[in-house]
Amino acid sequence: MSWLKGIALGVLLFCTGCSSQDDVIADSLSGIGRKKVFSDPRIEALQESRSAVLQIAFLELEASGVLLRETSRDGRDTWISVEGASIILEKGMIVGARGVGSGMMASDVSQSLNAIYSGQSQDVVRFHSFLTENDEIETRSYKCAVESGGRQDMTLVDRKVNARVMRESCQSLDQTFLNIYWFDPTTGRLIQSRQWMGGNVGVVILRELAV
Amino acid sequence: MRRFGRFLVGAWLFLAAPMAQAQNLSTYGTPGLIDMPTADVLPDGHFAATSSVFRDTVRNTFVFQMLPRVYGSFRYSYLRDLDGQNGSIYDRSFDIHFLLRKETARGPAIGLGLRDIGGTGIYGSEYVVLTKTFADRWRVTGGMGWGRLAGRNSFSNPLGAIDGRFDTRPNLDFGTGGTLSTSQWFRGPAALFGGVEYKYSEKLSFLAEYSSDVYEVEGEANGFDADFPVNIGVNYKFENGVNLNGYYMYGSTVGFQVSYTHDPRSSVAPGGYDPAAPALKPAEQVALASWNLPEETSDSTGAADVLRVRLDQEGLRLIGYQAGGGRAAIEIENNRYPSAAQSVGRAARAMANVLHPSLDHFAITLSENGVPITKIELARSDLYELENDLEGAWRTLSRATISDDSSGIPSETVPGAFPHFSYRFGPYARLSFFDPDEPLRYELGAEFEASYIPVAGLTFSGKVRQPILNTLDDTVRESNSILPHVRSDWPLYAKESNFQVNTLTGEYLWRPGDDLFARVTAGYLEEMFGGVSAELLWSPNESRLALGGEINYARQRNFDMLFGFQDYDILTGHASLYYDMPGDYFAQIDAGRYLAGDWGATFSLDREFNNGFKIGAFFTLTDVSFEDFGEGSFDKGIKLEIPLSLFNGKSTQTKLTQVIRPILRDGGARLAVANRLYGYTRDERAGRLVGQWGRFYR
Repeated sequence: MSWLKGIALGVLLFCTGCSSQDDVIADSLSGIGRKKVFSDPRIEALQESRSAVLQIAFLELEASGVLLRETSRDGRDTWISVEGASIILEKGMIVGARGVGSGMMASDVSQSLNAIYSGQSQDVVRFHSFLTENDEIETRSYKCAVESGGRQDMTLVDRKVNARVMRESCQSLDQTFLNIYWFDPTTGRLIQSRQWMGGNVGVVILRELAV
Repeated sequence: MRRFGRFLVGAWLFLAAPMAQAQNLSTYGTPGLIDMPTADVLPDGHFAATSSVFRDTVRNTFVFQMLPRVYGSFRYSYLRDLDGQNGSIYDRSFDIHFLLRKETARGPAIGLGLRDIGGTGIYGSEYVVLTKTFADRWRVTGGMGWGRLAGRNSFSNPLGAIDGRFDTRPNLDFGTGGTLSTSQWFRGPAALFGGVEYKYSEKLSFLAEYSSDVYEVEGEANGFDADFPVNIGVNYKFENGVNLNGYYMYGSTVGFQVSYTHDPRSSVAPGGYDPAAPALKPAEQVALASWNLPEETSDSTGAADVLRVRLDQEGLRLIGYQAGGGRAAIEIENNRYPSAAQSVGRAARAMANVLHPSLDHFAITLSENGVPITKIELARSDLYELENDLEGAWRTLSRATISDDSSGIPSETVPGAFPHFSYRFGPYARLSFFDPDEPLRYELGAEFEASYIPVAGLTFSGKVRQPILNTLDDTVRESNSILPHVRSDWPLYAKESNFQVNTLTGEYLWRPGDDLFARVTAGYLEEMFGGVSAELLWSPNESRLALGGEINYARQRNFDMLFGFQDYDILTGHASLYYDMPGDYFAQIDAGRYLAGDWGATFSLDREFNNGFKIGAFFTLTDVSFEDFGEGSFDKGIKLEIPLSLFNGKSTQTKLTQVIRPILRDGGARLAVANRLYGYTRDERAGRLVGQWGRFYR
């Protein structure tokens, strides 16, 4: 009967797509040494429609990539990566993320937005709700000091700007973070930001590449 | 690389999280110094695995903080040359520890514990212990021990003042083992022990103790010299949560230990790394989608087809669809997400992104193999309003209606929903523990499963296996059971089988009424038995309690695990009570007749964390006497169920499950028919659905 063992072993090693449904174990075994070609109809459609592109860099994770704008609704833009992870922005400020490991589900950042767009130095409160590792929602509040960070020269793709900088230092009982925002003084647009996305992921840098 | 980086960082965090409160673990794998216990406990719900080795002794311990103040542990030890006639022995022991008082600024923590409460008694001992922190860095422990912990400078038992029976510790009547050695607890002479831990830094601490254990048995058997009472040690905590300890013990030997503490509430990353669900599109965009344009009606199959494809991309199978009158209803099967709430959230958003905006009321029925289980109704406008709301998940839940759905949607509404065929080919592993000749035996091989569902509820399925690497069949143990050999002949199944037909069944599941589920299964029900099984379950959505009954006719299969049967047959069945207790706890009682014809009941208690990680224990008492049962006296064990998604961050319903029994014998053995209704429907019922609702917008 050893021929049966041989066949079983052979099929195990070389079987790809040997299941009709998701099969993580088989996927990980059969995927060894193969590069997965990613084709998601969602991403392909966005690439074809030349959607807006956002550059993202994860400082602590030393990783970077680009995001494509998938949807805009109700003042919020959802940007997705080629892996299908997404970041939700409200006027450029991160209010949610999916699939990046941060667990940030939703946020109330209205006070912060008012302060940094108006350029006023003031104390504000921001709220984030996170999905925990135990699948529970935890809403946390942070007290933040918003202040002007002066001016800074920046080079964009097509021009140089003397950006207006706003800094927002936030803290809760057990977490602190610093967000920095760079505005184009002529258009008033947020052109670059450094923002905290949650304890697990830390800080990301976002920069809009094309509109 | 990027994912890998995220994995590493996630793993670091999830390993590091419990570290801040990590207690030092002793060579017994429980909170302690070196050989002596402290009053400490682990953080609630945490577990730890420890291996320690020193002169002729190896101890492997699994400890679980079952309740905030109670931990239990299971230990599997190797004691070289301990038994003069038989040489080395493997010993199983259980401990339990109670934190009687928490440490305060003024007073110490007080603990009471029992080591080896039901084994061979080699580690049998009891203690009361006090631990207090001084100047942040010093933790001082002192206690009194009985039994093995009263080996050095012992004195007469102070409890003797209460009752003279405490003065002497009777010899242990070991019998067939496996029972509580209550006759010995806290009896006989007592002795004092103590020690100190100095935390040099967050990572490094030093340990010193005065041990009241003289290793009398080891000394006689293999000359272990434990005359010198002081042990010293060092503990180093790595950032990944692993602990290393090194010891100089009893002036005669060195010891090493590695341990790892884990919080089951943790995972590689909150929410995992799955792709995001498509965000809600503005309703006016959906109205302009080609399938929603005027030439089609709003309940056209065009929209249904698009929806079916979109759901399929999300790992959800559409098996029923109705629309009209401002309402759209779907019936789906979730083949991907460990959390039913996540599948509901994804289905609802797919509906909103596809269906005509005139349909404002959504109903989503969760079903399994065509059997409807639970219906969730929600307003489309709530999704738009709450998708990015700070409290979106809970506000959506409060506006949704969750109810039993015993009728579902006719499957004819989705062309091609049935018949449905699915299959899986992949590896499998089967483990066997605690064979005295070879403590870990395994069978690794390839497995093929397939199921064919011609109509909703009716499933023909089978599983075959081909072992490739196998040590299970090397066992030379033969069953000495005086009961019918319903389980204890497992080595014969391993030896005499090669290609295995594990199951081959026809199964029909249906809903006889509201809150009721029914099942009939016939065929090769499990590896050792075939026959017919029928079950009825009453499980109201709004109730913590569920009741069920099952009756089976089972006939023993041939050892070759192919199609033949042996002579032994039995009518077996159970009445079951399931109770979803407040907190993480779940209790189950199954009372009835077991495979060997014995009557009795199985008691199970699980702690199931919200993310699906489950640790449980069970025992079965039947009318078979301890003596007739044989080694271990009665059936008992612990079970672990760990969702794979917690470790790889990818949604999958695959779980790593393992039942660990000290020994598998014939008393209290239950038929292992698949798809028992409570477990089959539990994830989709309101309790679990609401518990995991935080994943709705994930």
